[in-house]
Amino acid sequence: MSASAGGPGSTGLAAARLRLRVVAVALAVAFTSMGVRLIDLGERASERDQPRPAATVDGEEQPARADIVDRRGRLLATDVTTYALAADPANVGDPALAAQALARVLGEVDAAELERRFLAGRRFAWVDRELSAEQLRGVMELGLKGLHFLPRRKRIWPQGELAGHVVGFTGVDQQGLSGIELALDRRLREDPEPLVLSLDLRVQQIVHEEVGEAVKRFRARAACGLVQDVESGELLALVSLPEFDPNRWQRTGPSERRNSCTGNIYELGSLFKVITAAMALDSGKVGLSDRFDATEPLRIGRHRIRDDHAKRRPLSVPEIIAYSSNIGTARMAFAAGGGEAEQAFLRKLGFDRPLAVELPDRTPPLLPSRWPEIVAATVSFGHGIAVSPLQFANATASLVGSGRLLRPTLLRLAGAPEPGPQLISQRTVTDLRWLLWLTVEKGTGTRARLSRYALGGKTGTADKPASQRRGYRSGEVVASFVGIFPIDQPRYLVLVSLDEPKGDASTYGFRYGGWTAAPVVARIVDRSGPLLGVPPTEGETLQALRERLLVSETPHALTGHPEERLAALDAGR
Amino acid sequence: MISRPVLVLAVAVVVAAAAVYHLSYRVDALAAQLAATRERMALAAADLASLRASFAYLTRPQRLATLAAGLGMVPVSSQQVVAVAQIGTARELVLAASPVTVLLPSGGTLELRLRPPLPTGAERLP
Repeated sequence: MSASAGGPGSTGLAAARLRLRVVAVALAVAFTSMGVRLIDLGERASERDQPRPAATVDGEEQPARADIVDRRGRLLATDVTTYALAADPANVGDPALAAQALARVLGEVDAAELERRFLAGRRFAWVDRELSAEQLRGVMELGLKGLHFLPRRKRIWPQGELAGHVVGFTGVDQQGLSGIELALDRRLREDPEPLVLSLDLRVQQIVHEEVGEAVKRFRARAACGLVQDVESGELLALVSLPEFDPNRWQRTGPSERRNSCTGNIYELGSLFKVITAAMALDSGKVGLSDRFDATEPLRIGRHRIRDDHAKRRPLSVPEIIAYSSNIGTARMAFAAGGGEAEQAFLRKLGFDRPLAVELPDRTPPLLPSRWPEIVAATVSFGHGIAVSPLQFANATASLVGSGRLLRPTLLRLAGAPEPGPQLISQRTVTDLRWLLWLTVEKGTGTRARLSRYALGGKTGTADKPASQRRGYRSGEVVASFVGIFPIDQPRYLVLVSLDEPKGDASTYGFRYGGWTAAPVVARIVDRSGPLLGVPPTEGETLQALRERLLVSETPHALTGHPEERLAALDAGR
Repeated sequence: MISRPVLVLAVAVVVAAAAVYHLSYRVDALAAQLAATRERMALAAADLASLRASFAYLTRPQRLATLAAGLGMVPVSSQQVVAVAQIGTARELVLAASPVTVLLPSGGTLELRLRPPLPTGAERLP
């Protein structure tokens, strides 16, 4: 080496050595890189082969179905993730010990039965098809091998039966089968934002409790109770009894799942006189001061129409409504145009079609096919025509509220709704309110009177039609009361309808709406009014309503207004 | 002989390759971390949904009404609503001469001193 140092050969050799070193270094780097990469790949492969955590919820960040909440954000329906637990018996270790440990954590599972499943010789065995979050953690803490957690979504309704008929329920594959869940199925699937209903759970609870107690007390077969905002048409409460729990809907029958507020139609009896009065007064052919003879039953052909609370004398229009005279109402309807006028007015109220509301369970009204005189007479006081309680409530809220047709809704509205078509004049609206106040103050609805709220209302007691023959069943009635408060500036309508109530000692055996349903409405108003922020009626307002009555009780009062010279109301009688 | 620039370049390439490898490894690690975080988020969301449902179930009005009745509470009534004008001002409030012990529905007691104006045994607030 030293011999060649300094010559051309030694220079070449040195260059060759350098190249060799560079190549050696390059190869070393390359092989090292490959080695590192191989280790890396090996590690990743082993990572891939490792079992993933069993309770994964990949791809479930967004709820499969939107929540349903009440108008104040209280949860009515939501999705939760539950876990089904399965095992590979070949990998659980000692089957007896594993079965005992699992049974201890799960509670409802029988250890012996589980052990039998583990020893059946298969590679798959169900342990529990639905674990709660607590059970899931308990099982994970056991640290057993060979267990598989299978996540799945489950729809639950935390309020149970409280709003069962409104919210409805879904099937096993999460499709809506009833109520809002069915009516707005697509919206709930496609838009993850919570669906806000118009219901106020506080009011729903009050109506549920009060109507439920009335059903128990009067042993009613079914009942409907509802509260509607007469300005927006929003429904704050809708209770149908018998009730059902959507979480256990499979254990209930179709009759329990039927919504008696929208799915059942009834002849609502005297409640209908509100509609007849509105029609008659608005026709211009009948005035508040007009009198109609109710001395004798009204004969039409071979039929006779009688009064339940007969006064046997001519009655003024306020008396006809306050004392719920069938004879007077029929005569009033004839004076306003009879059957033709009734049909036209009912069409305006939408009684010729099913109610447009966000519920699938809606039965259209049953109207007479022909309108001879007797039908025109009976329809005027609510017989021979059957409508659902909600459809009637909506018509009344429209007439007593703004006089415009409301569109009932179960969804909370962002702003004021589009005004519907005008049904009656503002003057008729005012007269109608006063008539309803009078009914509660001095008529058949006095059991709904409240000291703090001026309530207007109408009682109704309708015989139930016989199903197999013509005519009516004896002793079986639908007793109802519709109330509006505060009646001087209506905000809410409350309707309670009891199907086949039986009178008790406190009602002296009476089953009339004025005895059974009216006190229920009063309690609902008394309890929900403060929660809804309705101030008690001021003394001046009550005084104004009473002054009109005083004028009415003085036939020759010199008011200068002919309509206010009304017939004497025999308040003391 | 390899020129100095080539050598520098070779070293730079090796360093760059090592940096890229390290970066790639870091990205993979971050991706794995992201996936794990997402999984934890999903589990937390599921837990949250479950807790919200439990809260709604435990605070359902029917249950609260039963609990409230057990505590001696009664439903609200329109009788409890008064106009602002009916509420006394501080000037109109009077103190009782001695505190009155009141038994609460919960079983606890409370000492009250405020009461409606009375002609005797009362002192007016300053």
